[in-house]
Amino acid sequence: MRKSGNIVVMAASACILFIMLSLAQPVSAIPPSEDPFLIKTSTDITCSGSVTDSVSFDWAYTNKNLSDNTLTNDEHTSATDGYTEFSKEFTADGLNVPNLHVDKKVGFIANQSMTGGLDSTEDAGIFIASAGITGGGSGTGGLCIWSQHACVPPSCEIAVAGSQLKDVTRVNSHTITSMQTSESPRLHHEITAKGAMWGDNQTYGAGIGTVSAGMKVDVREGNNCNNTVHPLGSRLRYTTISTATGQWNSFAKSMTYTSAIPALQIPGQYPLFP
Amino acid sequence: MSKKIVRDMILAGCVALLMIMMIQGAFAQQGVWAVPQPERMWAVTDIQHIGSLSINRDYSHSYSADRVIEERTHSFNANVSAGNGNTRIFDVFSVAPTTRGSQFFVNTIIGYNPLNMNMSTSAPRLIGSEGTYIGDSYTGNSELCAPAVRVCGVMGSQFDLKRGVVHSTTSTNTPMSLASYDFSSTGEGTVSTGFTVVSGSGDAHTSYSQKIKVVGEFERVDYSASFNPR
Repeated sequence: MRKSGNIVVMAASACILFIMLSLAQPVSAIPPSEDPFLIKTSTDITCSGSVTDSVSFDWAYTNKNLSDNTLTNDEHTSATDGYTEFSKEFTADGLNVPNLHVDKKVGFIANQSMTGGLDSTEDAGIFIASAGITGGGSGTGGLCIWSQHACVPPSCEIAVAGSQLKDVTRVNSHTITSMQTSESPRLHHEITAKGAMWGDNQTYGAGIGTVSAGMKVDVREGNNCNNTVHPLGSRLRYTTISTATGQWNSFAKSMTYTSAIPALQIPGQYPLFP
Repeated sequence: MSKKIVRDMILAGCVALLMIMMIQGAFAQQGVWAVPQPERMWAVTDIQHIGSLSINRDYSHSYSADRVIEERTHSFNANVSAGNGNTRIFDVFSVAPTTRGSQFFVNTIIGYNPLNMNMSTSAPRLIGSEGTYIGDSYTGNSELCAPAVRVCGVMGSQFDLKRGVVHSTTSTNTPMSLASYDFSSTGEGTVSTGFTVVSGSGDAHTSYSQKIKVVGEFERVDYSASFNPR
């Protein structure tokens, strides 16, 4: 009698447990709250013939009512009738800086035919329209006394940089592009182009063709942080373009633009292992 | 005697309730999906062949669930015209349901050796393509301050080889829209590959597109791309 009683209790307990488990709803995965994407691509090509590679990247976003930002990167490489070694690592990160980093290496030697050649163009740009800020930052860190009453004047900033290889029949080039707008805005582009080893004896030959690199900056900045009146405080323009045509043993150019928009004095050491 | 009847009735009721719960749980998948889940399926293909060959595959699904709409479209085709070439294909295709969508995985290796290299333009070749489309839409949740998110992506390749190997791997995962694509090839002919993704959330907009085309004799074409909306 007592044994059958225990069975009833166990069965009832099991029933209650199953009912509770069945009624429990799973916690739904929370969709991304903003757009903190991560894009990574890796390209590695070795070919005797023709290679084309084209990339278009565009990111537009609003940064917590402080500014509207756009990052743009376009690359196009076309190698025809020759031996090509091409490698590229591309990373676009909506959360961490740099927001965009591209490391590209191109080696090319045209065939003896007259039709071989390499064209490669890379353009990068940041566009920032900032309304300025007079308050502190957001979150708990924004309560830090040094982040209070920050004065970041309004500004409109356009900075573009890039490089181009045109009608090149022999080259060994390396370009690095880095951009960020989610923290102190910055644009960097550099190119190193030189000749390449060629022929059965692997002799060094100078680069042949046209190589160009340059940067343009146009910035307007207000002279106060008033949200209603925006007198123009400064205007900055900068243009540089370097071009070499013919044979070149070395062509190197490095360009960097750093915005005056400061990083707010908000402690930002977390997390330790992002 | 009456107590025993009551106990038996309680036991029988519990057993019936348990069966109802189990059946409901099995079909309703913990109440997440408002409609049946993506079906679980897989296929493995392993072919070694001499002569002409034709392979086709088309797959698509579209599901909507609690604040998520998911679309997947995939196609693969490969053809070898008549000849005495040696073709080898190994292919794995699988779709598995997750809590709010599906896990999609395709891995294809296809190689072609013409045995006797015929340089004429009419020589047998391996011609084909594969491509995958992903489309995810998350409805905003004001209680969680989560805005609506949309993600669309396309990845794939085309190949026209006199000889060589093509290897591609595609995997996607909802609810986080993780997508990765790997492509590699070696041989002679033409291969094209690329990856395009567009995502948007509130005022933010991201787009990335890459296309690669290689013509000639190539000892290495390696490409990998991943998208993580976090």
